[in-house]
Amino acid sequence: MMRTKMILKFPNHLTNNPITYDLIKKFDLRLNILKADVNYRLEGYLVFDIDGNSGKIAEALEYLESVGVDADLITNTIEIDRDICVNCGLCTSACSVRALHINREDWKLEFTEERCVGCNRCIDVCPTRSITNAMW
Amino acid sequence: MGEIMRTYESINEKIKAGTVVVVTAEEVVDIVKEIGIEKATKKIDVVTTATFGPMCSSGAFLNFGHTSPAIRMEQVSLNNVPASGGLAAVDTYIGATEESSDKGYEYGGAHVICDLIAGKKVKLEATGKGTDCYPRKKVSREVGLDDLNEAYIYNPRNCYQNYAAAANTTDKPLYTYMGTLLPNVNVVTYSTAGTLSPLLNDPYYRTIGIGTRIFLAGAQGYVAWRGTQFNSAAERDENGIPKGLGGTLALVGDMKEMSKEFIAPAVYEKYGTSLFVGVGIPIPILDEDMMKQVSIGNDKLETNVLDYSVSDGPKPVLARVSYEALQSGKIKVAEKEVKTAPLASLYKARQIADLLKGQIKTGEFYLSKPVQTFDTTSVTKSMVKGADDEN
Repeated sequence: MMRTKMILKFPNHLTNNPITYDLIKKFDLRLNILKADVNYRLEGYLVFDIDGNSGKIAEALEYLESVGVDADLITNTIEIDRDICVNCGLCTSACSVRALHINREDWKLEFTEERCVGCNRCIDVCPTRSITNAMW
Repeated sequence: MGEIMRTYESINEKIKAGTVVVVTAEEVVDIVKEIGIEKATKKIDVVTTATFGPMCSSGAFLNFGHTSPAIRMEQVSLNNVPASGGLAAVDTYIGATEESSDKGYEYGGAHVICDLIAGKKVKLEATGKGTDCYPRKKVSREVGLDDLNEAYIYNPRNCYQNYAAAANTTDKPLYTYMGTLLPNVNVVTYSTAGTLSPLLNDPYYRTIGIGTRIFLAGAQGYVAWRGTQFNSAAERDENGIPKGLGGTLALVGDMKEMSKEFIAPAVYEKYGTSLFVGVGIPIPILDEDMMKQVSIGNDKLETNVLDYSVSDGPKPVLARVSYEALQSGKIKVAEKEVKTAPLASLYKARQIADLLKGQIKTGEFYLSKPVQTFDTTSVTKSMVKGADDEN
């Protein structure tokens, strides 16, 4: 058994497929949805906490790829290069789980890693390009 | 206007003597609350203001020195970013928003400017048709800031007096210079530094005019002219603060004295390149009226939240909010609680206001009286209507 986070990115035409159902039924995975963001029409995505057999998780990944879903395990979240970041705070506009937030006392950017679901929206929003993710 | 109790000369004498009293535009708000306008005016000589926001209307004039044989540079690029070939032989102007031919808006004029300031070399490539006086047709060199004769930032527009906040009422995201605006008014972004913002502290341009010495990205620069789209006739509230855009400033400063700490390239998703420019402006407390203006806090400084989904005609006002509310992280727009996010760095603006305060106290920075002040009657016009306009 292993516990991990998985992010699924899927194109608009797949938004009606019961992908979560398939993952539970076919691969016996325990899923806890951390974040679902399909209304924004940016790029539909789902983030799960997954409990399951590591072999089954690997099979689930193959299955997802085969139906056209971009699936990845989240092994790390984001990294902020503090030498480049100017603490403007625009990244907080993209972070709906408040992993990125501005401290209202000193106005520095704070990152709470436990809250981050790895959606990576902040990476494209950051004007100084100080946020990166080693996965993509 | 109140009785003049301080002059630029008397302030500069106190700077020289090391006895000048300087506070930031944030600090002065609480001081006035505590001791009142009259006592605060007597006590405080200078208030420092600052901003660190993205300003597209930025760029730099550069002079490369002549090659041998000489070339008249007619097509110019720096790290593949096109620069103007429309000046004299080895002069150019590189605009911050110009995009590179290889990396697009991920690397633009702003990056070239900041790379030079950071001490990096950039690749200059230029061609000309060849003339009797400038026979050379091509040059390619690695050049750094020290190699250039002159290199100075010239911002045709900066320090917007009061910029509107932005939201999006449609059901699709909008990619704008105000950031990526989530659909259905799920976020409001704003840019003005509130009570620290220079022109909110001197709303009638009494002390900020042509020739005012300023902090510009670490250098001592100057207000060069009124900024483009100078809209000083804007409707004002009871405190004299423009309800909308208001005045702007054109700024100039030597890149060789600048620090990469206070200037940074910016990239906005599906929009383009821009430039964060750190600006600090000292305001002499000439009299009680001046103190009244600088002591207005974020609770009384307001701006409009505009609907950025409207690009044809004026953007509708969705809400009128204070900077106190914007800076709190949440505001109300039509009864809905909406998250706010800043575009400009208040962290950096504070750093600049504090640094400028220190420079004045230690005699590194003297105040200068404007050689010409700005009017309060200018109106920004739109372009004349054309046959292809939609309405």
